Amino acid sequence: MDNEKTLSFDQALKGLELAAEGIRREDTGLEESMELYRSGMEYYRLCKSLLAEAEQKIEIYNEELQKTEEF
Amino acid sequence: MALKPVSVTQLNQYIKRILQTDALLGNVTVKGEISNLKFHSSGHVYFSLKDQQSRINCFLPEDKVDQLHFEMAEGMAVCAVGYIYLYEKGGSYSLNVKLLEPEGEGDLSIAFRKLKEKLEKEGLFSEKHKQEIPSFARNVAVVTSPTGAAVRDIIKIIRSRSDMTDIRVFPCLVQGTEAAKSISRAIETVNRTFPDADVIILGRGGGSMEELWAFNEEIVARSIFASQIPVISAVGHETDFTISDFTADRRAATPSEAAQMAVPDVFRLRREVKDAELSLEEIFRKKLRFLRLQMEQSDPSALTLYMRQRLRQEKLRVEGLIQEIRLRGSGQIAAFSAAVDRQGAVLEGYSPYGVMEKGYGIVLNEEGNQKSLAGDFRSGDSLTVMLKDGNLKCTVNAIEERRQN
Repeated sequence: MDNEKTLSFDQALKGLELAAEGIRREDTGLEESMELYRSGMEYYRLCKSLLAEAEQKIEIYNEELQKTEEF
Repeated sequence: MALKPVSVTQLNQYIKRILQTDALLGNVTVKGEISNLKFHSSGHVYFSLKDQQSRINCFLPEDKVDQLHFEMAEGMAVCAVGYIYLYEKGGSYSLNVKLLEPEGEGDLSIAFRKLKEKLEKEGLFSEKHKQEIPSFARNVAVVTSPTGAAVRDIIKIIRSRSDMTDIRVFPCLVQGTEAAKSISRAIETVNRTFPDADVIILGRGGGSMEELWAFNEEIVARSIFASQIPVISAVGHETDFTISDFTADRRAATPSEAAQMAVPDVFRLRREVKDAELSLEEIFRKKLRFLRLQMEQSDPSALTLYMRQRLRQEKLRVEGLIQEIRLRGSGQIAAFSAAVDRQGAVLEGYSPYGVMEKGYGIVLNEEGNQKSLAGDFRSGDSLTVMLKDGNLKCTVNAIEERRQN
């Protein structure tokens, strides 16, 4: 996982929170609220996909064979 | 009877042969204190070893300097292994050192301080070189002993926080003379074979200063500094500070803490994200309700209805007020006029005419000012006495003053 993706989890969570905040503001109109809701849900899906369960590998590097093995 | 004279060179050559073929002097271990320490530009190190009575010149060749596990310092107690070497030209001998080790813990502290100063000066500990530890690591490299408690703790903590973070252990020695090289090589191996690693946890469990010593060696500090992947150093217990801790991008008090720093609590984050999503939906629904209400109120027929209601309410309110004023008004006015009558009576009592009504008179002098004392007048003065129905113009015949009580 590279740095760009790493950042994007924090950003996505922030985006989700900001969307909620935006809708909560009294002067936010219908159209803007709908747009915020849509983008918030998109951030939510991104967060969720980044947190999706994956197979967790626990390995050990074998220097002699120069390859990894199960730990 | 002396032999035939020999040249100086011949004598020195002879001594050299004797000294350098002696089995004991060919491999001797000497304890002493370092003094006259000189780092030559060639990389060789010249110094003396001394005790209370004597000193011996020592020479440490450049290739052995590189293998030192510590920084040499003036006054440091060391143990040197080497052989006696004679410098023919000067006729002097010295200990040619092959191996040098500090003696005792106190001297390890000196070595530690020296190296710390040196690397600090070079900027290896500088904040500006520190890499940020990614907040969302997916791949963690662990450089430690594969059999120690540290690796078990690290894996345990990571698994308790995440079911999606891969862990790859890079085994190395964590104590003994070969440990520093082994650690350094492992860090380089991670960078070479596992560039996807988000972070390296480097560490070992607790131990004595000697046992942790590898983490105070320069070669380890250099490898940490050179690592492209951020390094968290977690050596020994909370109170142990090593050169490796200072050089690393972050220091953790223990291997377990390093694991916490390296890996986010995915289980908690999943809950947080779900909560944030639910709250977004709820806020959005609330907003829609609010907007619908606003819209209904702006609808002309709804507005008329609303206004009519408001009018009715206002009318009722006003009528209520009037009623109330009326009810209270009648009683209050009566009470008020009674109060006015009472006050009038009181005031009348104070009025001079009220007094004259009772048969009293008021005396004025010639200037028309009211006077109340006999002493205000002399015989022959004119005065006026005001009575209820008219005034009497009088002249004073005599004054009889009455003593005041």
